[in-house]
Order: sequence, then C-alpha cells, then structure tokens
Amino acid sequence: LTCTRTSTHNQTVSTTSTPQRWTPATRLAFRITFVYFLLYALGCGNATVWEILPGGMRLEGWAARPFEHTAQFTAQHLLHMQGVAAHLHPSGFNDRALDWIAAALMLAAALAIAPLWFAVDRRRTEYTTLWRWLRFLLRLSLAVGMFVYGVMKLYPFQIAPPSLAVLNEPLGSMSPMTLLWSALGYSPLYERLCGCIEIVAALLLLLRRSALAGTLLSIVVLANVCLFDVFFDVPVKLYAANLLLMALVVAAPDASAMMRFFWSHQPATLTSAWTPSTANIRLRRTFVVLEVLTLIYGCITLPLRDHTKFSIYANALANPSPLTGQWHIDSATLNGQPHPLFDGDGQPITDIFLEPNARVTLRAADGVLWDGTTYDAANHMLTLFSSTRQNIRYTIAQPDATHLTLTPIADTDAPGLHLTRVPLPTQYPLYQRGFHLTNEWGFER
Amino acid sequence: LPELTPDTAAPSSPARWSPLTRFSFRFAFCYFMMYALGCGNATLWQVIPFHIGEHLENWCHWPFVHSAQWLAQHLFHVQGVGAHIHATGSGDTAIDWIACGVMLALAIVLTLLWTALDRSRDQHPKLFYWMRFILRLTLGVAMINYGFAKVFPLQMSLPSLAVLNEPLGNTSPMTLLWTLIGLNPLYEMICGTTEVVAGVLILFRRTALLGALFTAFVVSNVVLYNFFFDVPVKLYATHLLLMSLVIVAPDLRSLYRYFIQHQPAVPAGDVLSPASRRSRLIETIIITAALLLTAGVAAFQLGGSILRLNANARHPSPLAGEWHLDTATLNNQPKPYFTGDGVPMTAVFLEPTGRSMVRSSDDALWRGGYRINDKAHTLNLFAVGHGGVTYAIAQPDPTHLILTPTGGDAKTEPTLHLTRVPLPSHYPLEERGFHLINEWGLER
Repeated sequence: LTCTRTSTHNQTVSTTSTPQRWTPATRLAFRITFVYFLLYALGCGNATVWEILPGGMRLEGWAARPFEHTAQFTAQHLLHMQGVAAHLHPSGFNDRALDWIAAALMLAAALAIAPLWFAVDRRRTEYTTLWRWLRFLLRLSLAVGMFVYGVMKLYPFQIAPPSLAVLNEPLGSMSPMTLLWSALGYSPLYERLCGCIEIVAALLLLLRRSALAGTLLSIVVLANVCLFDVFFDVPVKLYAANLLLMALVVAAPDASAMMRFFWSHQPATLTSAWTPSTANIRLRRTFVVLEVLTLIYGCITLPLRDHTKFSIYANALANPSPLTGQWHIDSATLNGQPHPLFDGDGQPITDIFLEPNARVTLRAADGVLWDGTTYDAANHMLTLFSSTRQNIRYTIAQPDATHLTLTPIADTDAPGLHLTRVPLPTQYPLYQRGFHLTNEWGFER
Repeated sequence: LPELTPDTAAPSSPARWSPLTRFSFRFAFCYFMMYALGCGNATLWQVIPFHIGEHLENWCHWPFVHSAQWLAQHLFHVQGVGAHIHATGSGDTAIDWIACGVMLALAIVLTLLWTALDRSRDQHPKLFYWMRFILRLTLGVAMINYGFAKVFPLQMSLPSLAVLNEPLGNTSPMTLLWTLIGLNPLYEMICGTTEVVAGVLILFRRTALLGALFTAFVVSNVVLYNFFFDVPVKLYATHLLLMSLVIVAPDLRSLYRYFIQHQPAVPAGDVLSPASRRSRLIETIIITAALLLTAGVAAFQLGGSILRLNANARHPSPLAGEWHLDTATLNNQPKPYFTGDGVPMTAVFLEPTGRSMVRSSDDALWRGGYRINDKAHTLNLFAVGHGGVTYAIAQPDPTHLILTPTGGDAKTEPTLHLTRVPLPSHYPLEERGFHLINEWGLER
C-alpha cells in the first residue's frame, strides 16, 4: 500500500506516499528485533514455519542444530556445566538450560549484528520493506504455532485425562504442572474448545483481511498460556513467551491506527501490509503459495498426523484392556543381577501405570511421574521411556491375573521386569459429577 | 440489532430502525434492564453507600425471587431445599433459574404491549443511550467487584487442608478448579487485575467499546470454566457475557469495516453519547463517582479481610488442622451436626488462614470460617448451609477438643467431641516454586 522500495530486489513500485524517516533509535530497535526473530522463528526447533514444507521436520531439525550445538559447546566449555543439563537430551519440553543458552546466543547475535549493520548500511533511513518481510515470516510462524498446539487440543491429546497415578494421589503431593494438566485434561470438551479457539486464531492470521484480528486473538490466548506456564511451572515458558512477543511484533505496525480507532474515535485505516510489497508477480505468487501451504499444513497434514496418534488412544478407550491399572515393580534384573530401571534424574522406577488411554506413566522412588510412552495390549507390546538410550521395547507376558513379566525385545542391556498388580478403585467421584445446570449449593469435595 | 451506524455521515441523523430492530431493541431493553437491576448479585445498586444500596438491591430482587419461590412450590412442585430461598454461594439454584424465566416471560409480554401501544415512534435513540449507560455501569461494577475479590486473593483461597490430603480422584471438578487458581495468589491477582481493567475501561464513554470487547474475552473464559467445571455461577456469568455483547452490538458494523474491510471507520457508539457538553460532563461525573465508590468500598472491605487472613496464616491458631468428629450430642442424646444437604458432619478442617471446611459423611465439603476469641475462650464456627455457632472451647489434652454451644444455640446445637487427625506439615504442591530452567517437566 504505502511502500516505496524493496531492498532485496531493488525494484521501485508505485508509490502512494513516501515512508517517514525512522529515528536512529527506531532503526536500531528494528535491526535487533529483525535479527533476533529471524533466528528464533527459523532456528528454535519447535513448531516452526519449516514444517509447512515437504520434509519440513528434517529442515526444522537442521535449522536448529547449529544453535543447539553452539549452546552445548558454550555450556560445557564456557559455563562448565555438569550433569544432564550440559547435554542435549530428549525432554519433551523446551526450557532446558541449553534452550535458554541457545536463545541467549540468538539475542547476542542480534545485539552484535545490529551495530555492524549500521556501519554497512548508513544511508538507509527506514526499513519499511524489510519490516514487511519480517511481519510475513512471523505471521506464518505464529499461524504454524497456533495450528500445532490447537490441533493437539482439538483431538484432544496435548493434555491427557488425569493419570491413574494422579487420581489416587493426595492433591498436596502433586506438582503444580500435574495439577494444571489434570484440571485441563479432566474436561476433554473444554480442551477441544480451547483448541478450536487456537485454530480459529491461526485461520484468521492466514487470511490477509482478518490477519490483525487473528493476531489480537492470538495475543489474548498466548497471554493466558504464558501465565499458566509461568505460574504452574510448565516448561514451555521460552517458546510461549517468544510466540507472544512475535504476535506483539506482528500487531505493532497497526498500534497507532488502533489507538485512533479505539481511543481517539477518529477515522482510522489499517496498514493492510500483510505480505512484502513487490511488483514481481512470481514473488507475489510465492507468498500466496506459502500461505496456502500453511493452511494445508494446519487443516490437512496436522489433523491427519494427529488423528493417527489419537486413534490409538480412542481405540484403547473404546476397548478397555484388562491390563489397565497400577503395577508395582517387584524386581528388575539383567542376567540374574538386580538392575533398576532409572528415570531422567537417575531415580529408580517403582511403579508402572497402564492408563486406560494406552499411555504409560512411570513413578520413580521420589514420587516423580514420567511419561513412559505407550503400550499395545492387543500385541502384548510396551514401550518405556529411557533418558539414556532409545526407548526400550518390551513384550508383556501374564503368568496370572495379578502378575506381569516384561522382557526387553532387542535391547540386551535393559532389565527384565516382574510386576504385581496394585488394586485401584474402579470409579472416581471426580468423573461422576457430570454437568449440573441447577445447583442448590456449590459442590465441593 | 439496531443499525445505528451512519458510517462517516453526520451522527445527528441516525438511520430509521427496521421493525425487527425496533422489536429486538424493546425486548433487549425490557429483559436486560430487569436483569441488571433485579438479579441481586453484584448489581450497580451496590455503589450507593451506607447500606442503602444493599437494601435497594434486595428490594429490586424481592419480587422476582419471591414469585419464583411461589412458582417453584405451586407450579413446578420442587421439593426439598430447592423449593425455598436459602443462603448459598450458588447463583444457579432452582429458584434463580425460575426467577430468570419470570423476567424472560415478563420481558416478552412487555415487548408485545409496547409494540402494540407505541406505534408512532420508529426508533428509541434516547432509551438506547440509557440502556447502554446502565449496562456499562452494571458490567463495570460487576467486573470491578469480581476483579477486586481476586486482586485481594479471596475468591479462590489457598488449597484447603481437606483437599491437600484427598486423592485427586475424590475431589469435585469445582474444587479442582478452585484449588488450581487459588494455588498461586499472584496468578489470581493478575486475573483480578485484568477484570478490574476491563471494568474500568467499560465504564468510560471513550473506552467503552474496548472495555466491552475485553470484558467479552475475559467473561467467555469464566463462562467456559463455569460450564465445564460445574461452578454454580453459570446464569450470572452468561448474562455478563450477553450484556457485553449488547454493548458491542452497535459497533459491530464499524468493527467489521475497520478490521475486515480495511476501510476508514470510527466506533459508532459515539452516536449514543449525550449531545450537550453539560450532559456528557454529568455522565462522566456519575461514572467517576461509581468507580470510586465501587473500588473504594471493595478495597476497604476486601483489603481488611485479606489482611486478617494473612495475619492468621503467619500466626496460625494452635487449633488449626483436621479434627475428626467422635460424637455430637444434645442433652446426652446423639444429635448430628447437619450440613446444607442434611448429611451429618464427620470432620472439620480449621485452616491456618481462619477459613474452615466441614466434611460431611458423603465426603462433600462445606466452606466456612472460624474465629477464636482468646479472652472468652470461645470459637465461632460458620459453615455454608449450617450458619454460625459460638462454642466454648475445652481441650482436655492436645489431641482432643470439646466444643460446647453457648447462648441461644445451647438449646438446639449439639456439643462436639473432636479428635485431632495428624496431617503432614509440608506439601510438595506448595513447595515447588518457580523454575526458569527445567531439564524435564516435573510431574508428580
């Protein structure tokens, strides 16, 4: 609409007005923002825009690798960190020490490049064009993030129903995150609605007409997510905070127009600048293709992928396995010698919970719970999480109703396990309450 | 809904309303005025000080709630506690739903009469202004009151001892949600601040639209919580959401023009502002007074309560903890202590903060509070569904407690013989704290 030049292609397009000169401080702030978010959006390794491309997951991994490995090097050789934190380890979450170091490295790079950029590029007084490129990238990144998390909740399996381990645990012994997860997972329909709202935000973001409305909705939703993550110790703080910041950057150019509308009540128009401005028709088509690819990813690829995952849970719930329940580990042995199964913190696992939804929860000696991946009752197979090697696959044998024997399939240095059933209640008042339109008293128990 | 948006044309010449718009407006006016002024929960009457507002709120609520009680008993044949007006924290009692039905029926009748009698007028801009003004005040007062109950984190308290020691599967959905939000007072305070900001924004003419949109977002989440976690404020929260949408309604077209069509637009609700400078000034003065009174009274009352709870928590009473009820007797005959549903009490939890929870034999929990008078050596125990009773304290040994009702209660209330149940002194849930770095997610 109002742009004059495209820095990357040096083409002049029709002008309706000359962009204003940016102050040096604004230019510096823009350069830092540009470099940081360019690096983070492409290199953070979690639900990035790479995923919309064919083979995107691999690209995402490659793009993150330089940062992860620099962070690992920094942690080991500069910060002299020890233990599990000093090494890249699969955690399922993104607030590991190395994640924070990687983000700090990106910020450091942005702070270093911004002044250098001054030296190289002294004459430019504004970055209207580059700003539109950044806005385009961040808008798609935001849409991917909202789709990935939205579709997982729509099914719903991002947050599973409370584990058998949790249902039988006094509330005071739980961790704050487990409490939050149990509360949100308690009501699948609530979770699905939350997922719908995230997906609606992503769809609005992708359509240029409604992109600002989508950005504002994303801000509201992400602010809530960030508060949950911070106050209930959910380790997605870094990613959620960055997503929120991205949404604020995307909305920023229209802030003054929104002030005019909502505060001054003066006639106001949005910038409508949702793609980089260019006369190059092929480039413009590319933008449309990228938007459509994101849409396909969010509306077809992700639902299909997550449907496969969800159907495992749904089938398990429809055909409850007789193995469901709590199993105490009586002995863990390797070649006749005691050989405990350890969790990520090096504590021995004491109990295995086979959940009604085919998930597995492990309890360690210190009371901590670990996601033990899944079991397949029909084929007598079980996969257990291991922090030190690939997940361990077991076959399940049941000598009698109250005992199980687990034998590792291929892994020769994993222990065999002998388990005894721990009786659990068959029903829980939490699930039996249901919906009540009329309440003579608030029901607490 | 009314089409009041003359785009950028002069605001003095509003478009003629269609018959449907007129009818919907008249219905919305009748229904929401009745609900806003007569629902009896956090209404704008409360801004009038010196208990005058409370009386007005009760008087306006009286006709609806009493006609509802009559209908409950004689038309719907409701039995038991639901058939009578009773002191409860629930806003979704059978009588509340019937009262709402009464308002709805009355609004339909009034709208039909109005349409039949008033054939000369084709629009009601003045009434529209008044409706919007009253709804803004109602929502502002409600959001500020509910917001302050969280800013001073009282609405959701710290997890009760009764809940901390109970397996999660035995809790009720509402207890689970309440425990979740009450766990972090700072989180609750931030939620409260959001509500207060929404309430303040909606009060003032200039920010009313922004405030209404913000309120709609915040209250949507509350409505979802209330429906999915069985919180009995469904009726009231839904009305708050509807009222905020009524306030947004006249601006829907300009919002669409601005956000979707990307055309120059201004909020159209301005048309509904008073024309003269003087009237606008009066409006602003009324709003400022309402804001100061609401916020002032809320801050004074709730601030006092939270100071008391915090002081208690710092120096918990030696009686704090779980007490199992061994026997309850009146004149040496067994006489249970009945909870709201008529089920006997089995245990009482005296929380360090001065709140209490009574557990009944069906494992339900009943909220309340207690106060100890050290000089008189008495304990006043209040429980929702039972009311307050003052007991003389006797403690033959540290693990036993005998509470003997005093005064008029001595003739009707049982004497309680209690034994202390040992509880843990620490709970992992409350000790986790904030962690910026997590190598693994901590679940336990």
